[in-house]
Amino acid sequence: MTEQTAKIECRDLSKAFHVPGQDQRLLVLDRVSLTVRENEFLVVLGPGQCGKTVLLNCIAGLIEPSAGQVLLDGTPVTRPGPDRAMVFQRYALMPWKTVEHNVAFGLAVRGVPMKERREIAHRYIDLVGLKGFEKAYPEQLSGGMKQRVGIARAYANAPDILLMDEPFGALDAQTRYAMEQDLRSIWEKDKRTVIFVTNNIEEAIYLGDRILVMSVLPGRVKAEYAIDIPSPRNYTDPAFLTYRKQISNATDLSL
Amino acid sequence: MIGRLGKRLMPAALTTGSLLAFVAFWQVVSLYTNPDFLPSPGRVWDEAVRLFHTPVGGKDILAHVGYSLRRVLTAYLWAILLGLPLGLCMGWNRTCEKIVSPIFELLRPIPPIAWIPIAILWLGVAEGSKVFICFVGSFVILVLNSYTGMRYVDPLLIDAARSFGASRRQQFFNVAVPACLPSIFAGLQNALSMAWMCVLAAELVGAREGVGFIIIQGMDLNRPPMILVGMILIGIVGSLLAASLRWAERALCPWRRELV
Repeated sequence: MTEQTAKIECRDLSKAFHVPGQDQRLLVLDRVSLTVRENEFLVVLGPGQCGKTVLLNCIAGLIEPSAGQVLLDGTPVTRPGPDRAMVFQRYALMPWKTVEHNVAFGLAVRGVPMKERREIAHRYIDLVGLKGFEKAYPEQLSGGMKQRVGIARAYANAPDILLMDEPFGALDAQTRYAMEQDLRSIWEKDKRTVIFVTNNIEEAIYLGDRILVMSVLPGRVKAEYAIDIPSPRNYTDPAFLTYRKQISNATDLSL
Repeated sequence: MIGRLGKRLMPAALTTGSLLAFVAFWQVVSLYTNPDFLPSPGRVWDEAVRLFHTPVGGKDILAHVGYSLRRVLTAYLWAILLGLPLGLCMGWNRTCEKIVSPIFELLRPIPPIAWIPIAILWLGVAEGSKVFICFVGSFVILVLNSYTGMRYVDPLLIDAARSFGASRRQQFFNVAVPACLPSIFAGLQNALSMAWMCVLAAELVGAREGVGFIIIQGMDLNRPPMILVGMILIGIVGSLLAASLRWAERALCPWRRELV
């Protein structure tokens, strides 16, 4: 596989929903096309209500697009699969499972033997910095720690593609910075193809190799930026601030 | 030091204190009442001791408790076996809901006690009708609780399971059912106390054994202490049943935080 091969390709993806009490269907995604290279970190940046989550759900195979298609390595997506893993804004952890069993969820679904499941789960719990919390229940963890579990759960299933739906959106600013740094360094240690959805410019520039900016409803791809800053990135680096000014001038995201 | 010890002994002290206060209050009231209406705690105690040694209707008092318990537990197990799956299916599957819920909504408002006459005509005055009444009472509660529990499962959890490729079957057994365990337990708890109430209603109407029979005997023999012994037994057995279920819930749902 060459550098140029698209890992994920969306072709003219449109999605309209029926809204109760309205005759017209609400167009949420309007002919969105994008490609993601293997092991690329793509950030989709847009305000609330721009169809980012719907886009991600289409790629995950959780919902079916009204028109257009999603191709993974050239094959159309029809349903969810172990080649993709999702990290949710509201964590979506099983409250009755311990950290260890939450992380091993995808493995259990695929019928991986108990012993191997445990080993893999522990490896990723270590990776996200939650060593010692294997037996804790999600209820006993802070928001940031819960999302670490969410990230470990996604990683543990060994997907090619990570789909992250505003994973740090519910966290306080301090925790958010820490999580961004950790995610970036985890990804550098263990590269995957990532689509990361956010409404935060700083987060987008800190994490992404490339940023797609989306417009408000109906969601369209409005602009694209390649972020060429070497790691480790710094929020106050002049190059960082230049990107930030450039992107916020070009978009209606005020900052 | 005193503080820490006090904190550990406090709940026990409060419980004993409140029970003692209740008995004291009863004692005081009974002093000023005609003993034929309200016997004192002491007389009820004596009556309890007597009943433990003298059979009523050919059986001793523990055997009567055993009869009532057996009816309740038989009905309860049947209700779990049939009601739990039905309620869970109603909450999970739209077709199942559309078929079952209209019938269920019609039968639901009928109190279990209203089934007594027809149950006796159908199944006779023996065990069958009593078990049936208890079954009706606990079945309805179990169906409702598991149905509601299933309807309130967070769809996000199902999405998460789906995104990991869980089959429909895995979504049901590994996600939806554990997610509604707390409401299932609430249902198990309520259903058991309902069954216990129903067995007494059924025994009051006609029985030759059971705790309900003791109470009716007390009334027929004009012995208020005997009635009270029966009532207290009902309270004790009922709360023991509830406590054992609470214990089971804590063991099976250790992730749940409780206020008390």
